[in-house]
Amino acid sequence: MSGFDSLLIPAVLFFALGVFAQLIKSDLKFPEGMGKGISLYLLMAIGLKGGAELAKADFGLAFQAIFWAFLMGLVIPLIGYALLRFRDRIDPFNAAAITAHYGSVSAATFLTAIAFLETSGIAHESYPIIMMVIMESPAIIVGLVLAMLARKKIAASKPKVAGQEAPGLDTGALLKEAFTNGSVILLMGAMVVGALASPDAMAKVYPFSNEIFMGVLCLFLLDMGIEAAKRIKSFKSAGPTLVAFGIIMPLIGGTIGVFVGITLLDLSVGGAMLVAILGSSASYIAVPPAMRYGVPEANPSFYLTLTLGVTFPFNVVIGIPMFYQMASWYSGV
Amino acid sequence: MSVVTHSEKVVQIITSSSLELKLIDTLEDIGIYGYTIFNVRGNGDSGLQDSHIEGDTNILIMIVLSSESYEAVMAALSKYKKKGHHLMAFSVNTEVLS
Repeated sequence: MSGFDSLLIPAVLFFALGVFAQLIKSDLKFPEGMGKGISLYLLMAIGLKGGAELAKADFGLAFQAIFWAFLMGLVIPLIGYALLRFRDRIDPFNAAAITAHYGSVSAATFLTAIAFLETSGIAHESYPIIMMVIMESPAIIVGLVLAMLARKKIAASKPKVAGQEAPGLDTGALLKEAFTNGSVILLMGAMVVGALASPDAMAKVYPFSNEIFMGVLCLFLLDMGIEAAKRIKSFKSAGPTLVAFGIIMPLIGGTIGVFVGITLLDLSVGGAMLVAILGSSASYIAVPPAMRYGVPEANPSFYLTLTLGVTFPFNVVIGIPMFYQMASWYSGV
Repeated sequence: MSVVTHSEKVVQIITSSSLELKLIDTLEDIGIYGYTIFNVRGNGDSGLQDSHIEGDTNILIMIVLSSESYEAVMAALSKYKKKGHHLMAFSVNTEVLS
């Protein structure tokens, strides 16, 4: 499949339609709450599919996939933080909040990548699905820890006021933020249901989890196209450094993903491309609420503009075919 | 027929939905169990709040308070602001039907 052909899948075309509708100021819009409802369906369906596949999977490889996913979730945000803090370009709180989004994953980008593979008839393993579940949380912890360290540093540099304590590290609150997140609970829960339910019982759910899946994904990407185009106006306030970061960071994360997929996990080109998408995509569902509460000093406008307005369209249009080519080249296929 | 009313304060708080549970806990700690919450949309220094994904959903909490509770609520909200949370709190005097 050439680079241009990869754009001609319904999900990507509906995304483009959403962007177009917003740019020409069409009154096309989704009813309130529908986008959230569709994302719940997508998480549940992918969890069910992944769970059913994993019940048949090799546990040794599944364990390795979990390990590398966790490590990617820790390392990618640290690289992002170092880039953003280089020459003090971005303040530590905004850097911590933004980088947490890049260490986590975008389920919609991942699902679009699956649509790309399935439309092209390219096989892929199911391990990246469990990697996606694992990668939702570590980056949230990294972001919260980086922000807490920044708070401590700022407090230490100020003259001490009698009776005022230095900001501490609230580990309980931190773990709660990372692991009780709604999308983590739904994905993880649906995977367990998919793995435990008998194949006959799962077959009854098949029309819900598989047959209508791609159509619902098109609807979701239409909605996301509208939302992404609304963020274009905010590029000016985010500034060129952040907009450039929104393109450079996925390239770094995706390259790491290709390496993990091919070299460390020995996956097929399709599987490695999915791992690359996990590395390159930035969360805009699970992480923003966690950062709004955990790093209130950061400006939400910056991270939502970057993840939804820059990185998501970049990955959908350029990242998916590019990382597929990169994985093919690296594996020598 | 005369209508009997009494004077109270209406406090309105616009903030992120991610703060909802914490703010309700804070209000309950003060002894306030009655409130109304709306999902709202808009734009401001936190960027576009379109109520589309969890991270860009704002809420408006409306509370009717006596002047004693009013001080305690505003003091508690001020602590959130000092931590850096993006919230807008404002109040008006009101007459409530007795």
